[in-house]
Amino acid sequence: MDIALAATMVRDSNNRVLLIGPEPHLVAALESAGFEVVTMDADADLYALVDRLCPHAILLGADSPSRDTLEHLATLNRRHPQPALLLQGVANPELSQQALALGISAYVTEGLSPAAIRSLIEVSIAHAQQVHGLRRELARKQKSLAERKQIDAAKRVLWKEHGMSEDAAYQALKNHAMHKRCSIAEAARRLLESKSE
Amino acid sequence: MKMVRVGYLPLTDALPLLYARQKGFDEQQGIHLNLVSMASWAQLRDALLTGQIDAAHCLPGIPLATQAGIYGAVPRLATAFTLNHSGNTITVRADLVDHTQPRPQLLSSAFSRRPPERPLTFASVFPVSKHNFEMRYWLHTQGIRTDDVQLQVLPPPSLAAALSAERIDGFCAGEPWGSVAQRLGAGQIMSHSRTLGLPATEKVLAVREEWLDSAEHCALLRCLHASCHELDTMRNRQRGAVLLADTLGLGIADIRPALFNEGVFASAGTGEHFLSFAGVNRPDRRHGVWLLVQMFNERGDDLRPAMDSPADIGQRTFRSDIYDAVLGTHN
Repeated sequence: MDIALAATMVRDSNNRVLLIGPEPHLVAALESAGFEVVTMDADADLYALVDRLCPHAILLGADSPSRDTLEHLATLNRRHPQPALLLQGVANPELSQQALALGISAYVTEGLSPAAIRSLIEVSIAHAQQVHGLRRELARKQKSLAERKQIDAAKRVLWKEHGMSEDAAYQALKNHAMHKRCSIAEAARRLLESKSE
Repeated sequence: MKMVRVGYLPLTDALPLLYARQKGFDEQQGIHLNLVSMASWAQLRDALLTGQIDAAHCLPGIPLATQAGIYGAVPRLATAFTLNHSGNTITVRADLVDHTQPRPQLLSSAFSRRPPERPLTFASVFPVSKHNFEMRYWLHTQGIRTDDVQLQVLPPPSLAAALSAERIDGFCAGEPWGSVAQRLGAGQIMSHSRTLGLPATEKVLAVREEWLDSAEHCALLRCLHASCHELDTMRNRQRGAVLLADTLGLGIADIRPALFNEGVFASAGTGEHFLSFAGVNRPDRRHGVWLLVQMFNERGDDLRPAMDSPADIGQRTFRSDIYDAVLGTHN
């Protein structure tokens, strides 16, 4: 057992969260919300781990295969974290449902106050939303980069085959796009396709 | 065409769903199946309860647990269709078994010779699964007291590795995971659902209670009935085996034994499939009641507040009346 972990157990501050899977940013977010966080690999022996750490809550991916093991641990001992979605009264089912839709499942104990449970799930929802937002932004940037490359390739074709200047080639693509009611990238794609046929 | 989202776990008995989609039985009934692969029974249960999916290839224990109140105040699930009978193996660590002649009665002495660094440990797949009770039953037949062993739940794709690493001594899981462990040399299949002979309902099509009467559910029942019927013949099972191998990312050799009564499954009996899809689809409430009694016995005091009798809960969960209304009173 490492020193930080031992210190956590001595303090026994009733807000120890076991986080399964690699989520470095979520660790920081949870810690700044006042939680003690222990992280573990998905293939760790959860039976030994949960017995040793007595976590007050466990967070993991909604699609983690380890969830059925946690369901079993929940039936073995009421002090083990229980699936938050099913815990009426203690947890907030709507909030848990929202977390689940974002790909996080939470298991919580009655040792955690309702306010702490709420904050735990809210922090993970905010984190997941941020991750989803970043992924969308990345996908958007990748798409626009690919489109720009396509437009450049089409301009080169127009320059080589029709002796157009760069500006004239761009204007030709723009006119074509307006005429066909599509984007300039789409007009470029069609031009390149017609050349490769 | 109406989209119907159906969850499943990567198991041989998910075949009726995969086969129905491949053959277009869904579109013949005016629906389009969107099949969603799930990583755990917990994920599948939650997706069903929260409406992320409409229906699921499901352990019968899950709808029974919602009706018995085991999961608290959640939407109630029910089933009007049994997908298959039988499908699990008891697989034991290969190094504990004499490969030339695996004789079960020698096992308990093999187990007792083990170094006592940890208790005997066996795995099944979910708390309310029949696998849990098949595992316990088999241990009893071997003269091993379940009080003396540690029973765990592990994800089936990790079972072969758990045997190799000597984290567990055996498991009960649905095919193909027993065959996979055997092919890898990690395990030896010692018994299976047919030889154990417990009530055979294995997976059901589970839905939210209010969805039972929907046109989509009726179409889904007709579509799966056609699929199960076709999977009764060897030629169609051959196609099914290829489809399963592709979907699960496994070799055909892992899929074949359970579908064609090969190897250890030859003892399933002549003329009867080890894993049957046809002729078993009408929900059999007696199997549900049996499973509930096992669940109640295991949990003891936990279930006292649930005053309903297993017979009542079984009737609410296993809706043969819906099956009869859609498909007629035959199987």
